[in-house]
Amino acid sequence: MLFNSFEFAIFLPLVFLLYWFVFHKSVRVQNIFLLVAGYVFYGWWDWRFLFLIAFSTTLDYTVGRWLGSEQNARRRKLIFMLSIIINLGFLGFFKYYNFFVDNFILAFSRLGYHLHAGTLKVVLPVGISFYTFQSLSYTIDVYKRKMEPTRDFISFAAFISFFPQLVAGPIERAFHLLPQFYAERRFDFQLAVAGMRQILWGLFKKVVIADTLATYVDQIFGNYAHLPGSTLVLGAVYFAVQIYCDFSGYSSIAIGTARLFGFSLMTNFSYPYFCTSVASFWRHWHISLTSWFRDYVYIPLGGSRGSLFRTTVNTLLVFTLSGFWHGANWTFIIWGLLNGLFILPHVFRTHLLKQRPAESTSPLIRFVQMAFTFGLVTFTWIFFRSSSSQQAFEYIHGIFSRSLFTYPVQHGMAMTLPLIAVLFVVEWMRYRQVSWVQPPRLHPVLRWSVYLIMIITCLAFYKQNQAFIYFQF
Amino acid sequence: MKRFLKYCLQLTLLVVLVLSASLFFVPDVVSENSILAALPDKEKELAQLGPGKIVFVGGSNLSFGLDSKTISDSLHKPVMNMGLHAGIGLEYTARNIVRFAEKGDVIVLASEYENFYTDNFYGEMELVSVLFGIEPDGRALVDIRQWRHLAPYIPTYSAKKLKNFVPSLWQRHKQLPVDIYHRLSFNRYGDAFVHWQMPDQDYMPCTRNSGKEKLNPEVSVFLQQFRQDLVARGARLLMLPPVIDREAFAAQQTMIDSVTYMLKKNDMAYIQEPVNYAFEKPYFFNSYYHLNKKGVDIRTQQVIRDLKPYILNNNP
Repeated sequence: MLFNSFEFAIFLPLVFLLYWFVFHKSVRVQNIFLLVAGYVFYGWWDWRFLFLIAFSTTLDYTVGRWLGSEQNARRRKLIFMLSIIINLGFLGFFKYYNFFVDNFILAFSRLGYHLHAGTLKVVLPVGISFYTFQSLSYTIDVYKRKMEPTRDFISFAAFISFFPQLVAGPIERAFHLLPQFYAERRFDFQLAVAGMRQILWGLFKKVVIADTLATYVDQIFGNYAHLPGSTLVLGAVYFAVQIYCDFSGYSSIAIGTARLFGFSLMTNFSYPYFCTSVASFWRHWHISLTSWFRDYVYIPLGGSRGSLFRTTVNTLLVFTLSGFWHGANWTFIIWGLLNGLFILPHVFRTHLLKQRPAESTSPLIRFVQMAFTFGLVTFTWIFFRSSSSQQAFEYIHGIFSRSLFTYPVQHGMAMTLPLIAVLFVVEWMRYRQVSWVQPPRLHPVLRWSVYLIMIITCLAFYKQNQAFIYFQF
Repeated sequence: MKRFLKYCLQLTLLVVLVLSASLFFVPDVVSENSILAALPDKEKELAQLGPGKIVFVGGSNLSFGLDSKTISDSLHKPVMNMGLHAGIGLEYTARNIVRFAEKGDVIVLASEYENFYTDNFYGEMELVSVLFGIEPDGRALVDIRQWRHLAPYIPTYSAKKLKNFVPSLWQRHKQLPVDIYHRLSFNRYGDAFVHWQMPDQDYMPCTRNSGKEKLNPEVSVFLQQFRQDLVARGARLLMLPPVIDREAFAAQQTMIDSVTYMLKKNDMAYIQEPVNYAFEKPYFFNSYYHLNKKGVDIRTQQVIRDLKPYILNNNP
């Protein structure tokens, strides 16, 4: 079930009303109901996926209990490793099996050995990378004794299958979200209203901006060989905005929906395109994944505490893994590695200065830094969007040609540029916390007019079956 | 909670009110000049032709894929190409044509394959545009079951109308050029001809069948009824495969086979093998269903060859 579908427009109010009016007697009843709602939401894609999420839930719950009661360090480690292997094994099988088989065969064929191995038609379960990582965070935290294992299976299962963030995050940490399933939840008017506003803004970003840009991005990336460099630059910029609106739109809807049920999810995006360095960008983009890799991979590897060489290796490794997390394709690996490389100057400076470099206070310098960072990040998005690394390199080759200095082929600029402008102006005002545009400060008539216009605009731009980009991960 | 629900309800009512007002009172400034607006024009031409005509019925594979004058000259029969847009749906397109059928008419149905195995059969946004912006009388042809499928498109259509209407207030006198999707881009035989002189454009490839697609079981029942209705008026129905580019044909092969089998089983087999209407890409203009002039000429000759035995010998 997509957030931007008519099914969800019926599902959400129904679940909301039942949750607060029928199943409000106790937290346990509410959790059972949320669990059922989560399974209905997830099973809407394919009911067979439910076995997978149920297995993952049971496994990690059992492992958590086991780790909690086991005192022997060696046995604890063994149990922990078993959980990791099974969890990542599932992820690896569903997501990476064909990639490894294809590359293995290719590598041997280059050496003159022609192997024949069948690839499987593996259907990738929606959001498997997200809930596997969320579930893993629980096991790791219990193993490291950062949190007590839960004894409440229903709460744990509802935590794993919590429908607002089940298929595309934010990847919540158990220590943040799980306790909210134990606590009594009362309806909070302000929280619910703020949630609705966030849902509306998220839908606007997805339906109006991302889906409109998607049409032109598909055209440009689909015909890159015949287009001038200037249009290819435009296509890359379009995609940078599209993926931001698509993914942050999803996160906004997820966070807003969770608020309607009395839950608080972590922030996943914090104005990343206003960052003045790639390192800063990654602290503001897909925060839940970046912090996951930081806490569970980068820091255990030694983080930045070792030598400069070790820090460099750790950084590149984490970004490459992060790229690989996105999908079984070399394009994602190159994308991750490139981001890692772009962060290295920051790593070197921090290592030499022994502290994070201070940010400039000059607006002009900051603007130039923002534009430069946006340029670098947009460059990496070319790999992310391309279907193969060869396509990405050809696309880049197409950009750096004489035609770069020609006027771009239109591709809906009259429609897209005003939308991009609206996005950046609104985001800038929110970023700068301009008080007069905060909804509670607006006159009710103006505020309701804005809501009405946004809803009508969303409907006017609505296209059926426009999935979110991150669902494929 | 009461306050929250009250606000939600008020906002919902406000939205419904605005959309309803837009649906019934705001002019559809885009559709009134689009190819959809050519439907009443084509119907008017068709009504003047009299009995014994050949009528092509389907989507844009016909409107962007025939030279009806050549067919008329070759087969010595009046010809009308009623093809317009697959989004109008097979159900409405076919039902709408029955009232024009007369004794001795040959109705050639060449519907896009998607009309047989997706909700395309019931119509999409284009049909909503026709029913509310172009041909309100057509609503009488739509039953409750079909309305259920069209319902999700209605709020979007109302909102789109409003979105297009607002800028038109200060661009009222701006004349839109007659482009390929304009109401006036058709000749009197119903063929879109403006693109015949234009260079080809790149287009998105067809999505490959996933294996999950199923034929719409209502289609065969509907087609049987459609044929009976035509026969009752003294007309004949011939099934012709739509033209499609070879890659798209391969992508949809599974479902094309299913469609072909279903039609055969219902004694309504295509008069030619579908593969013979799968053309190479250079014959297509801007979609895997839209032919350029070269493609139109080849397809027209193929259609003449295929129809000849049925028209001249009056084969059943």
